[in-house]
Amino acid sequence: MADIELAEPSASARPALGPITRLRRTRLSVRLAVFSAALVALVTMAIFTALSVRVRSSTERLFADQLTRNGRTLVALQRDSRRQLVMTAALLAESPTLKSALSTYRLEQQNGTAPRVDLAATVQRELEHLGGNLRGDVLLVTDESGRVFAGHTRDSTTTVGMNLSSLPAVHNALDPNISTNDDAPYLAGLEIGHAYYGVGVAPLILDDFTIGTIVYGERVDSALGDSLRKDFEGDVVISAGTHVISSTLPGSLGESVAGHRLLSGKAVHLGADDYITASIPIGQTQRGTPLAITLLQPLSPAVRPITTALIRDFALYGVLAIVLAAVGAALLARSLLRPLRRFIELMRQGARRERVDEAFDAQDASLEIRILNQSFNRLMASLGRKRDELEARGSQLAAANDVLTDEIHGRQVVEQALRESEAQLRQSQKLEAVGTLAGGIAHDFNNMLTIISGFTQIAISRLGTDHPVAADLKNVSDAANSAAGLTHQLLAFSRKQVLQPRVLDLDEVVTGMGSMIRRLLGPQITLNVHRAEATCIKADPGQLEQVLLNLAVNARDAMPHGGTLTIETMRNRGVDGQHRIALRVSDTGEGMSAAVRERIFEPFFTTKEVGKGTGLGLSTVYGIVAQSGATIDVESALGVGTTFTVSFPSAAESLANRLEYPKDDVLPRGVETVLVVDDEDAVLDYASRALATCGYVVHSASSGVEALALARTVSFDLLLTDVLMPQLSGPQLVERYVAKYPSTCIVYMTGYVDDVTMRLELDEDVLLIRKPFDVMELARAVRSALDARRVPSTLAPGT
Amino acid sequence: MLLSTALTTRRPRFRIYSDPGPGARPPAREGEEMRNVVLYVQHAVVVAGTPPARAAMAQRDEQFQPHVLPVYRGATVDFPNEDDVFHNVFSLSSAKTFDLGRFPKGSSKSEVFDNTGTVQVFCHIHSDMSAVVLVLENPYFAVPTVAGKYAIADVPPGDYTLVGWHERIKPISRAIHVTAGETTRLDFNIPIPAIAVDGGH
Repeated sequence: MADIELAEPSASARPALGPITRLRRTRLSVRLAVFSAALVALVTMAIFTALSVRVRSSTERLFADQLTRNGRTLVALQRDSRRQLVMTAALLAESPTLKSALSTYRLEQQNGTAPRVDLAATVQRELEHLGGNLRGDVLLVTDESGRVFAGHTRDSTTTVGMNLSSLPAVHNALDPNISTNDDAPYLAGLEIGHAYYGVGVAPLILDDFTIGTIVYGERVDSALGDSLRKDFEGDVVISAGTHVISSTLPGSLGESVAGHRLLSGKAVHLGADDYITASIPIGQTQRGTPLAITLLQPLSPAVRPITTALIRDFALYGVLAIVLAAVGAALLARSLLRPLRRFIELMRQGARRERVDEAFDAQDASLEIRILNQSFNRLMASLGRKRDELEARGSQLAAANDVLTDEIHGRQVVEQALRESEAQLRQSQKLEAVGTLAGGIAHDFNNMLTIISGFTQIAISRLGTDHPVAADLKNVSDAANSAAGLTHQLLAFSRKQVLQPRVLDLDEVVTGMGSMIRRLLGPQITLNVHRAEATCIKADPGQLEQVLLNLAVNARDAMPHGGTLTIETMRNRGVDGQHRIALRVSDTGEGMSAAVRERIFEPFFTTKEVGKGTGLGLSTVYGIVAQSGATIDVESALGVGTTFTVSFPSAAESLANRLEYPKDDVLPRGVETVLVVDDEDAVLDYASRALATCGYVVHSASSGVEALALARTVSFDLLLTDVLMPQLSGPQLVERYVAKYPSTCIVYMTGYVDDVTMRLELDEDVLLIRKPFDVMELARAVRSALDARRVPSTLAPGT
Repeated sequence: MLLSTALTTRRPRFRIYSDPGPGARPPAREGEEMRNVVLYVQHAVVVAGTPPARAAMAQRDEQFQPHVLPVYRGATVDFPNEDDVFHNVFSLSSAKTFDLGRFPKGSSKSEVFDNTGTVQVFCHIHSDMSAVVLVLENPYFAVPTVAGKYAIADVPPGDYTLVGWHERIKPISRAIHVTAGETTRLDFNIPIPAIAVDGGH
């Protein structure tokens, strides 16, 4: 069993395999190669991922540093440039023409003279002259109140009259108390029209007095952005407040930079890229608008080439590593497995029982292989021994197996027999149940019939046989007797009848049964009866009838297509020299085999269909025959017929001693005192009245206890008791009663048969009458019991 | 006479990042500011026959000396160059427009100032240099001492207006009555130098 379960499924039965299962089943070297390649690939990928993340963060940091440095440099450059503005302004403030003209103009205006147009023009001309030769886009002169006195712009916008006093740089330049080495206080933004400028402011000083300022600067516009872009590879956004003056960023991204103070050196996400930023403030304009330059360095253009190179290198070297790993693993596996191959071959041969005893020499192989070799050789040696043992044990096992097979066969036979007896038991139980039912009914019926026939007979005896009604009452009595016959048959069927063996003539019985048997056989079967003389035997007539009936029915069933049934009685001498009376029943039926013949008397054995026969017919016959001291033989030939021969001991001697009741119809009478006990009131009443009619002094009790109580006051000559009663049964009552009054005669009456009745029946000293009984039967039984007592009692004095 | 420094301040040369150059001067002392104040009498009748005066304004240490030079109308002013470097003297003022050109050390050029008024004088070589030649209608004027005292002599008796002048402020006028043979005292409070000036003798 286990071998079958563990067996490999055949190749044809194997379902379609997945790639992993297929790999799992493939050669070890292939598996090793694939596994190594996968491992190397995994490691390569992991390194690549880690490295690329590292590269990105490093690049980010690097660029942040670089940009911060670049930004610082640019800021420094811008500062230098701004300082140049202040320096240039300071230089321009040294112009004697400007100073003298402005100073003179202001002084004269102060003194109330008419404004000198020529002086103003001189200043303007000088400014334009100076400004025209400079790179700057704006050059203004303010007076000491910060108002623009004259101005020059690249685009010739009018600036005269503009008040720049709100510019801190102008204010600082005009304040002589401020003295600093820093240029920051003199730097500012400037708005003129829609143009923005970054300017430096320097004071105009004349003979230690500040008389005005010079404002000089450059325009802050897209050109500045472009020029910055030349020096700086990233993006540049120039903003005035939230307004974008210039942006090299794609789309409107500049607006998200303008007006926001970005943290320098940190990556900022804008649009589709990350940027590192740096900010350079230019200054606030006279309207408070802050001008600023923002530098942005996109990260992806810097990181992408490195990443691309990384991918390329990793792909190249990764594939190389994978291939090398796979090849190396395959080679390793091969070198490992080569010595094993011979092992495998050897094992195969061992499995085929070819070379179990041959040792394998692998002295030149590696240590592991040598160990394996040693173990293998030991294993093979052990296997050889085991095989021998197994073979020996195998033959033992075969022998044991034969024994076991036999046992199994035997057990199967027993089981079959058990099943059969179970079926028989069931049938028996069924019959038992039916019998119990029938017996119960018969008991009640017998009580009723006793009453009916009894009272009818009482009525007849009272009226006299000559009375016109007497004939009718006789009919009632006969009907009751017929009914009693029916219950008797019922009891016979259930084998609950009371055995009453008596001496009788077998011929009479056969003759009496003749008509009934003929009816039973049907028209197809011919009945022949041969009788002998003097065939007296001792048997229960009812049982004898049943024996005859059963044999006849059996013979009929053996002749489904008709035949002849022969019944004979004969008288012969047995081996012991005694006369025997034989009853022979022969049929011309199918006959039976020897096997069937051996078993026909077994209870429940039947060749008929289930339900048709009880299987008890012949066994009942056997039982009765044996009970009656007779024997039964059977002869049978298939296709010829069967003959049953029942052989009774002759009862010729006994016939003379037969207890004969007087044949006349005169009721035997008496004057003795009688106690009648029965739990059935009607029976009690009937029996009491019947005995009273016969002249007896009758007392009655409805139970055993009552009877015993009564016996204390009255002395009875005879006790007539029912057998089956509640509380105290008949025999129990008798036992106690006889213990006290041993001289009392006992007569039982019963309509039912049970074990108690059976025992009583077998005791020949016990007198028992069966219900229903008529007055005559009762009177005779009582009389004979009393008379029987009288005999010993009369004899007693003599002995 | 009082001066207050509240109005304006002289400042050193404007500079960022650099140390003072060789041309730098220490700031002017406050007391010397008194020397830039002029007090003059308006509308006094000049005695006929008073000769035109002659005055000098030197260029020394890249400065005009004195910084303020009051003169009677018609006076000739000499501009001697006492420095080692070249100087130039010119003016754009209405009262007198002139340009003396460049001249070296030791040489001097002069100019006659015929019209009254304030003549601002510059040097075209040293733009920081400036001076004022105050051309007045009469010779009755004075420049206070460093201590702030002044005296105007020979003023004909009568009622006049005495004007206190400084280049950075509006002229301050006071009425004055001059009696013959007497010295009239008048104290000014000019809001530049904070030095009281006693009246002349």
